[in-house]
Amino acid sequence: MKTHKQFESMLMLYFHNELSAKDEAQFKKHLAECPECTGALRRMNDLKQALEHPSRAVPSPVLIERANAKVMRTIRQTKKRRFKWTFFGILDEIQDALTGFLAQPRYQLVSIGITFIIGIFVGKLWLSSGLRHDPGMLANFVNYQVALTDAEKEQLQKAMANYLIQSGGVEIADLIQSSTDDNGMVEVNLKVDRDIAIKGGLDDPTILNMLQYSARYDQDRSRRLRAIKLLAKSPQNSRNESTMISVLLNDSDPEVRDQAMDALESYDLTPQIIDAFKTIALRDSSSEIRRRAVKELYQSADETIVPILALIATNDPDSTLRKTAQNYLDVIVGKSNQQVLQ
Amino acid sequence: MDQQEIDLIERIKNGDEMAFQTMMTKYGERVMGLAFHFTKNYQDAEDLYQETFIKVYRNIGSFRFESEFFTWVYRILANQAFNFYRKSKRMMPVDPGEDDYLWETIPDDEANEADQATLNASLREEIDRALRQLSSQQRVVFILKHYEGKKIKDIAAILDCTEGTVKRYLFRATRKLQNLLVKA
Repeated sequence: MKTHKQFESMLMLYFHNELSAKDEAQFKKHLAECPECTGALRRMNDLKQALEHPSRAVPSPVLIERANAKVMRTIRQTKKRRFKWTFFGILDEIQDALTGFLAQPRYQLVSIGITFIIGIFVGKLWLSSGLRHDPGMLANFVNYQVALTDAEKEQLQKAMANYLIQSGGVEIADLIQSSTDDNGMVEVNLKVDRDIAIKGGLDDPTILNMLQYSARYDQDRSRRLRAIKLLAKSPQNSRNESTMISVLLNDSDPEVRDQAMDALESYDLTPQIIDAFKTIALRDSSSEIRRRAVKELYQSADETIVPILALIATNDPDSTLRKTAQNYLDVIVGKSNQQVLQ
Repeated sequence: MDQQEIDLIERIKNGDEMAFQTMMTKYGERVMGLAFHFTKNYQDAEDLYQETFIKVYRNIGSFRFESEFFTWVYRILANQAFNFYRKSKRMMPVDPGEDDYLWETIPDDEANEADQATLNASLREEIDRALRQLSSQQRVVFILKHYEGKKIKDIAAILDCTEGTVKRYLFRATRKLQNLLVKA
């Protein structure tokens, strides 16, 4: 004799007409005596009724014919292109086959397992990638920490500032030099959603980063000037050098370019600086800057400057500069002639 | 499987396009009907139909006469349906579109024809919404059972899984639909 629980599990099979004749007879007998199962079956029949479509859509022969023609067309085209499968076509086939395979009920556990393994792999990749050192994420994390020491706060702000500079769209709000000596502290205010104040010496990479950014991109002319002035006080290195060159070549304000020129004049000459001077000597709109560049080129004693000087000597709009260039040229050519004679 | 069908399949395996077209004509209506149940959209049903028969043609070499041919075709169609659910993430509501004239509406019987006019449009919408909330496996199993009238063992053969698995999906789908429609 079956228990009520067993009959309950037979209910669904009975509803879907899946019971054997013997079981069905037995269940029907139980149904007559059990109001609980009768109620449950009635509710299921309500569902059946709700789902029953009063009509069914049947495709017309025209539709089937059209679809068949399309299938045949695709098959014939594929035959022609059999050896011309694209990489993405093959990839798509593999993806379709794989997802079709994994979506099957029997492989569901396999697909869960694969997802889990991929999750672990991605997690490990993230941990080893250095992304966890991302200041943006760090900031989110630190914001939830209640106690932060002043040093930690300062570190965090610097990290955030570096992050913001890298991501762009930052306006330097103010540059404050709190003391006047060469080793004085510099304060940079960034205009983002809120101001971030950073303090540090000229040996601080974050401060240098800020100043380099400000010198190149600041909208405010006076801040660009101050940034260049401050940068000029820090030792020559490739980043400072490229910042000054960039300002000299691109800044629209002659006074700012002049300031960059000052800085570059104080640096040891490198091939990059000489190249920048050559460009400036030929094309800068300020004759004063061109004059300074020509002088620097002459003093560099670089052999490649002869054609540049020749061009300036003939084409420069400023007659004084043309003369100067010619003089320099004469000296260089005279020297080389002497060397040849000797 | 009768000899005529075996011959037809052998001819398709040998690249006979006419034989393949004969097979499509033979099973086309059933495949298209089921594709429509899976997608609830005429255009998608046609796409599913085409993808299924293209796969049938490409993979016929792997058919080993171990099951009924139509069960094998159903299996490909069900796999394509899984892909379709994955790609679309949802079933589109029934939208007749421009091809609706290519589908004929056939009433099941006289009584139902009368019901058709009175069937509440919002109830249909609720049913479609409830079906969309089932997992793809539950949906495929339920459609094969309810709309195609397949037996559990046949569904298991189509999906290449155990009868117990099919029962589990069917039970869950039925219960979920019941709850969803009661709430609606």
